[in-house]
Amino acid sequence: MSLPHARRPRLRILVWLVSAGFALLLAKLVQLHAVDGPRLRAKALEARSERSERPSRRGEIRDRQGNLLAATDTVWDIGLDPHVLAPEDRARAPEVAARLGLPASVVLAAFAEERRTRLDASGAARDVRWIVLAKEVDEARKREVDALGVRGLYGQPRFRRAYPQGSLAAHVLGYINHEGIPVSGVEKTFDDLLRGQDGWVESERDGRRREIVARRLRDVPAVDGQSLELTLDSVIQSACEEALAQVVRQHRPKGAVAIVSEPRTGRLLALACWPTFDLNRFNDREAAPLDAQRNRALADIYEPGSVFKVVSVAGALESGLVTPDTPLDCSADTVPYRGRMVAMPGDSHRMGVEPLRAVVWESSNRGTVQVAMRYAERHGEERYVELLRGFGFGAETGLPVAGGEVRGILHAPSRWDGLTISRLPMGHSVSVTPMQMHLAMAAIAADGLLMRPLVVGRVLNPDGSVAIEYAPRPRGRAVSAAAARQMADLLRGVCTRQGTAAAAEIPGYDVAGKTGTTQKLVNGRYSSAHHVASFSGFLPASDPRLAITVVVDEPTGSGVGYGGKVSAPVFREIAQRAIRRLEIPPANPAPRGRLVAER
Amino acid sequence: MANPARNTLSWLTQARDDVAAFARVTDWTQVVAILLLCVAGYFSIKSAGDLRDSDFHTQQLLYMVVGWGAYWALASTDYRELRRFARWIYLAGILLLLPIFVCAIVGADLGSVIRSVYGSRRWINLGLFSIQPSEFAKVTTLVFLAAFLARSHVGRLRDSWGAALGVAAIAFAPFFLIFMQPDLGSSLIFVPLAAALLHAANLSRRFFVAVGLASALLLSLVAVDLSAYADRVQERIKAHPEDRNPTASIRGRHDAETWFVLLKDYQRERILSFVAPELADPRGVGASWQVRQALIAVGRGGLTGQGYNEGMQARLGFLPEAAAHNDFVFSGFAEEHGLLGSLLLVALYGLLLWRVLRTGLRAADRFGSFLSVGAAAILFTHLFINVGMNLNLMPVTGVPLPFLSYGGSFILSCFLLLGLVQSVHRHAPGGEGGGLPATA
Repeated sequence: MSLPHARRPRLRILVWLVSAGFALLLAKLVQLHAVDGPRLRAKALEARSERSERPSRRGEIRDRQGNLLAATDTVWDIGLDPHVLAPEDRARAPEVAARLGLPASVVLAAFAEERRTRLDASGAARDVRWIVLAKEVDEARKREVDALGVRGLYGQPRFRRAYPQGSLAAHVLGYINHEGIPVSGVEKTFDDLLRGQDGWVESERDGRRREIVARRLRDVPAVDGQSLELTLDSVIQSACEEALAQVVRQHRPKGAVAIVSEPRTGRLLALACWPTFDLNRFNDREAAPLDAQRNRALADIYEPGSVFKVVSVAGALESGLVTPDTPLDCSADTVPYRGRMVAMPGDSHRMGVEPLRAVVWESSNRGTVQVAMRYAERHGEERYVELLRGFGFGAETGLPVAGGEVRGILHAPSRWDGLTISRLPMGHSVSVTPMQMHLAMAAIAADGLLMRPLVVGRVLNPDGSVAIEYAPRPRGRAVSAAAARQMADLLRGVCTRQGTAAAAEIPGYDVAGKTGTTQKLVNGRYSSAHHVASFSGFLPASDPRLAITVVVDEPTGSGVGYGGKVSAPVFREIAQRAIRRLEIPPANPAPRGRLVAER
Repeated sequence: MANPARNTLSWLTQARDDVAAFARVTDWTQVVAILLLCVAGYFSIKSAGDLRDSDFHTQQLLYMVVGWGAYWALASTDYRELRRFARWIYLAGILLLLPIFVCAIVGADLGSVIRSVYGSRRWINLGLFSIQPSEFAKVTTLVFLAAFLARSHVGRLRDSWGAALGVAAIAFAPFFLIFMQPDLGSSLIFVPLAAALLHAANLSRRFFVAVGLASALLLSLVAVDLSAYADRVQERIKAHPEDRNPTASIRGRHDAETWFVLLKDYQRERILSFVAPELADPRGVGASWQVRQALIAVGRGGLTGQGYNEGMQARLGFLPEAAAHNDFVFSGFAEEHGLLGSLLLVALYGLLLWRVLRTGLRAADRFGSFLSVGAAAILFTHLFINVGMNLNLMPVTGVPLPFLSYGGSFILSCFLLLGLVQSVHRHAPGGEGGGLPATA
């Protein structure tokens, strides 16, 4: 029918217009789905997915008695969400300040109304949701603050590595830097065990970036790190550190090292370096300069001097070239060696023809060099160097303490010059670390077995069960047991009045040991003013339970420079306290008399 | 003597016959389409607010019940009766707008009754519920426009100036009152409404050419304004390259400094973010955030959608919480029901509009025809602008989607519109009224 009031063609145009509108909408819909769909879907997922870490707690480090040396605390950063703070709580700022130990003005400022927003770089106002009041607050104080019941006052937990004993065994423990990266010590060597395994949460978040717990996809809990039980003994360790402090006061050296271990097991009981530093302040360049952080027992080398003579003598004893009674001419200025005459080094005092025993006691350079020459003539120079290597020289010790350990310098015979055979046996033309020297001396004490040094006794799981137990293990045999015992017997005499280290004598205990005094190379020449004074020994000589090495770098003062004067008293001091600590029973002091009689 | 039982019986029989007659002349296609749209709306609002424990969907259900009541009440009355009261109806609509207008002009709130929300006043809070007079004004203005045109002589331009000016004047009053709230989107509805009615009234094409030219002029004014604004934004970005949201930073400042007060800065922002999003919102966190999130929602829907209650863009608050259940409900629907669902939804609107226009074609008189055409114009404008902004075809203006978007006044006004159309349908020739002129 026709329409009198609204003409059909006009309405048809409207229908066309509407249809065109619909077509536009439909086309756009199809385009969004078909063309842009994948990109848009990816965007949505990216905006929603969230991955957050669940940090693991680092394992503890304790000494052999269970004293805590390194721990991970939970500390709290206390802060405020000013938008949650109730108006009636604003007046409570002084209370909060008192609990946090802050000046009231600081908290009052944070509680002020105008802190709710800040102007950003562009001048636009932004909500402030977190104002830090105090950092690294401990658990107890955090609970006190919670007890106030101020809404909007929160604590953010985090882990902090702490070293409750400060500088004790600093060079053994090492530390974690502020990025959580281990820098040195067992913290670095055993990082894989200590660190544990971080967990994580994969989840989704909403438009305000809050996590939606209901849509959590994966929740992997953190596995806490394992703990270390060191072989160190805190009492002996602090004895070492105090003894070093004492020698530093007396002689103002550049540095000093003391090492104590159980010779038969290789377990390290103490390792002290001076200068030292507080592990909790590793980042303080004043309190902990890099020089103080260096582990001198592993990273520094020195010419060991007379202590090194032990090695040659023990080797010669083993191969039957000498006995303690073999006479040696200490007056000869030159000695034939492999068809040539070799100049002998000087001795501190002139000696005549002496038995080997006296050569050791009085530390005769000439006597020792002749013993070594006999060895090299009989077995060859190669085998002589092998003998030295057998004691661990020229190789890393394997002590699992990260500290820039060096191998020292031990030249092969092909690189020797004409005088090397007369220098090497007395500990010149060779560079060693204090730890190498210590372990070599410990090998004499351990019946000739060179032990693998241990610093970690056990690794414990977070639940306290034992994960790993490190058993004593020899690295190899340095010399025969018989030769080692003979050598030990000779070394007893050193620590008596007729030896060079009378100061190492301990009444009631038979102490075996050897002094060492080396001139340092200064500008390419041996200096008579710069010395390294060392002493290395063990006790009781008949059944060694302690090996102790003391190295003092450049002691100053009058009449010093000799291992027997500077280092032997340190040895005695440490030994006496270790004896008390380990309750080592005194033996019959007869040996001294017997030795005297033998002479 | 009448037997009471028998009387009751005959009354029942009579009632049954009446209902049957009523049902026979009702356009059930429209009813079913509206019902389906309501169902879609209810569940979309529910899903969008689900994770926030909002109760918008229950409120909306209540509005729907009230709306259906109003729908059937209007459908059962004779629309021709309204002609006589058309001017009073129109005046009532204007009166409702006045208090808000006064508050907006003065720039002050009226207690908690009329309050500024996001810088604009749109609701009258009556305690138990709020009403949005601009939504009702669309219906009341349509009724008066239809009545006015029904008795005007429209044809050649020379003879029609009076009618055209009358229509312009009638439409301008609510347009201006709403524009000043300010509510640009709602006020703009009156432009296509008036145009559609004049067109249906057979006004000369030359008029539309003239109006088209005038609109082009207006648009170019807006363009000039916008380009000045864009320069300001660019200056801001140069001066503060670190600013994440440059338009927000200069919001208001620009208003104060321009002599040409055609738009508010937030409106400029939205238009600019539509025309040149990379300039208005370089990091996608400001004015274009909503549209970006809406597009992501639509794109995430894929062919068949993520499934009901899986529309995470809305549920997790990526679509702004204030908009996910009303202006941006379509994108939430698209995410859950995909391309097929969206096409079905749009097709449902198409079906409804077709039936409304068909009613206009078959109406018994000019008044009924205009009512239907006007209702179609209003519905289509809402649909196109709303879905268009969800799909980044149109700038973001606060225009809701009929029957889907949350909002009591709006859904009620939609029911009223379509109730009128149903009444027109029922009184069309061949229908209940038999196409006879209204009696009484």
